[in-house]
Amino acid sequence: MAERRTPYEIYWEILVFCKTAKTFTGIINRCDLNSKIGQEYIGFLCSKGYLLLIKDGERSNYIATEKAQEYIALFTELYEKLFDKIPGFRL
Amino acid sequence: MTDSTLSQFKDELNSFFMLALLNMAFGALAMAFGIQYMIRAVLGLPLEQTAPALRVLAGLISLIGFGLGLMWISTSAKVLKGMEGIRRDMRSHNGPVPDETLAGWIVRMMAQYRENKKILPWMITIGRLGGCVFVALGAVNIFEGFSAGQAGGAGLDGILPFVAGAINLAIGIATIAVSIGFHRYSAAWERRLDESTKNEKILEQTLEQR
Repeated sequence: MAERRTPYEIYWEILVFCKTAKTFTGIINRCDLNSKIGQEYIGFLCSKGYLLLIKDGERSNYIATEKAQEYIALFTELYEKLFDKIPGFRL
Repeated sequence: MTDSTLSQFKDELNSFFMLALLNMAFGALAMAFGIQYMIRAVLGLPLEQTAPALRVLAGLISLIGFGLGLMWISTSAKVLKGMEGIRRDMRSHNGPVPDETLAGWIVRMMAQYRENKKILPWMITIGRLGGCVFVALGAVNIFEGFSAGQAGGAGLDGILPFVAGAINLAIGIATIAVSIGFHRYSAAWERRLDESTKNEKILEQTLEQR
């Protein structure tokens, strides 16, 4: 299933999941990513300021920033519109 | 989120689920009828009085129906499996559905559609072919009935081909209707996929703004 999502869908899933602090392992398990791909996505989101790495002793957690809310809200709106704009299929 | 978006999503998911279930049921019927008619055609029972050529024709059509039924069930099961998880999550959700939860289900549906994009045209084609086979089988049954009647067949043997013909015609028409349903589902999701591709540009710009 993982390969059938677009990168934007994966970014959105990571950001929604990280509304509360999450570990790297937690993120890749939840979002069905392998370690290498997960590192790429998380690295990109951190570099753009959508995710923040919090180090607490030996533990490292990622949390979505305020800026991520814009992307989450926009994405959610656009995807819901897919159902509002396009005539539905019904039996 | 509007309630209409959620109810439309639920309607579509349930409709698709029903379609896939019906498709599996018709696939199973195609297999069952295929086996039944093949045996009958080979053994020539109980319609000894019908022309052998008709029995061979019915046997051939049945063999095709059996093969289509097998393909039919396996493709339907594959599609159904992916949808089952989304439907289970949706049904187990209590209370109001947050926007992000609904968007998450939509993302999963979208991923499922991408996954099944290549299978769906097959399902539509197999459904139509299967439906045509049932209709053809129904026509052959009815022809057998007339043939048996002319050869002096009476009682149950004279009526059975007509009953079988009516059942086959009904299944054939219903199967073609299901394949039309799949076609409509596919058309709606193709448009959504196109729209989401356009949305990607907006999302990319938003992500890259820093």
